[in-house]
Amino acid sequence: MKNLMYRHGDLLLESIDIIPEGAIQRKSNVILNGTATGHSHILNGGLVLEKEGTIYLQASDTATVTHEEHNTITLPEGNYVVTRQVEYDPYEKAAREVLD
Amino acid sequence: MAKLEKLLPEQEALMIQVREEWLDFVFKSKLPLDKQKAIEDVKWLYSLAGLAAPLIIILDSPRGCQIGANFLKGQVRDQVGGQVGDQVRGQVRDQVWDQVWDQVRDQVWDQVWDQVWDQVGDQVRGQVRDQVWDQVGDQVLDQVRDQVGGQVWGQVWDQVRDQVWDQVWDQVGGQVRDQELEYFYPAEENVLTDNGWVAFYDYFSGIGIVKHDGFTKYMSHIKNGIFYTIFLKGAAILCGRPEYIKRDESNRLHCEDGPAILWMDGYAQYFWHGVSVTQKIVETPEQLTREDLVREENAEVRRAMMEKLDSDFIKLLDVIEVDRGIVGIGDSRKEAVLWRTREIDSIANEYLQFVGVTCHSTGREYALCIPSDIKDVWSAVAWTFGKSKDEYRPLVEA
Repeated sequence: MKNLMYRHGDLLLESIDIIPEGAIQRKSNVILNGTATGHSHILNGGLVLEKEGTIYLQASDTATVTHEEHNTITLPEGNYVVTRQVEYDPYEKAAREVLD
Repeated sequence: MAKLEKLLPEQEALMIQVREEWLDFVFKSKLPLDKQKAIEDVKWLYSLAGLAAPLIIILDSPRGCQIGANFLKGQVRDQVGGQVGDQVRGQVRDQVWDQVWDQVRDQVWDQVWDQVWDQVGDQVRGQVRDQVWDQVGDQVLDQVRDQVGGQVWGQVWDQVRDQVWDQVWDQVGGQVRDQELEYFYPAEENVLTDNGWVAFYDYFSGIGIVKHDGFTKYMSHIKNGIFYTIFLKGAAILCGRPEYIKRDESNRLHCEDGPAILWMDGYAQYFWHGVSVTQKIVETPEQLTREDLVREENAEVRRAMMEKLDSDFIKLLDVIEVDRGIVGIGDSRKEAVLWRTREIDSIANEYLQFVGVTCHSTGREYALCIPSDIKDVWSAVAWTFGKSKDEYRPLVEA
């Protein structure tokens, strides 16, 4: 089945079959904190896990993702991998994560 | 005794009045700090935690407090604190040592400076906040408590702690670390952090529910106007209210042409609709360069630059439009635009390309730099998430 995508600001949440073995549950359900605004993307209902710098979500059947400024989105139950938005740094010739 | 089940009309009116009084107190009051009272109150807070009365140093800004704490710990030597302006360092050093001398004189000075914010905080919560919570719980039905909580605690908290304290905290912390100084975790016992719950119980004191000497004393400490606190074993460093705090219509820290917060020692904090920005963006945007825009890694800060520069933004980038179109599916469709510089950038040695996008939730516009070989807006947006044009199909965008 084609992966389902949900975008929440500078995050893309993409459904996956399984979360890689060895992913560790984070202490809080904050997916990402903003540095200039202090705002956060938060998973309500489910677990936020991490392995080797990649963030995974295990969404329960009533999961939502909230943020102080973005509209709340509802996630169907399942597993997701989180991709952070990047932009191109022409001086370093490399992609860098978009911060907010 | 029967619990309070419903607020009377005059009690509801008082709820709004208390909330507005607290917000006015934080944002509009000009009352100066009563320094003697501040000293006595902080000694009382330390006594709650079983700690000896500390030296109390009163400075004029959060930055001053952090530098002052570094002086007290002996961290600031000329070579270490070199990045802190000489004038600032000199002012703070003189203020700190004058006050230390006044209080210590010939006594032995125990220079042990562990941070004790948690010890003091635990006791304030245990001996004051939790007890008044129980008093309210015993006498008021949950729905009344929730009603007042939403109207008073929640709204004061939102406007003060969420919109001001978090940003002040972050900006001061970042600047202190940039200066290679030790960062001291601020204590909570001040106006900017302990506003919500104190306002909440202030209301219940007003309608005769809360009667607690400790709370009354704590509230008088908060209402003295201490805005920033660092509690160390042996020394407390604090400051009073800033000269002003400016906000936008959404209560976010904001000033179009100057500091959003100006502290009494001249320490200025700049914010653009709640986003922490530099003095240059706010006060001298004409000095911004294309390199400043491209090198800025924070999308919100760059958006602030865009909004501040307005039509000059495109002029500064010196770009032409190469594509414009709709990106997304269903309700998530949004127009985006692709710009490319007229000339090859002399530093990057290539054309620079930017995709201009609009946030689905806030309607704000952002510009993200993308590789120069991308030809259309859909591919550009997809690239920012590591996807091809064919792959990028979000069902929902918010």
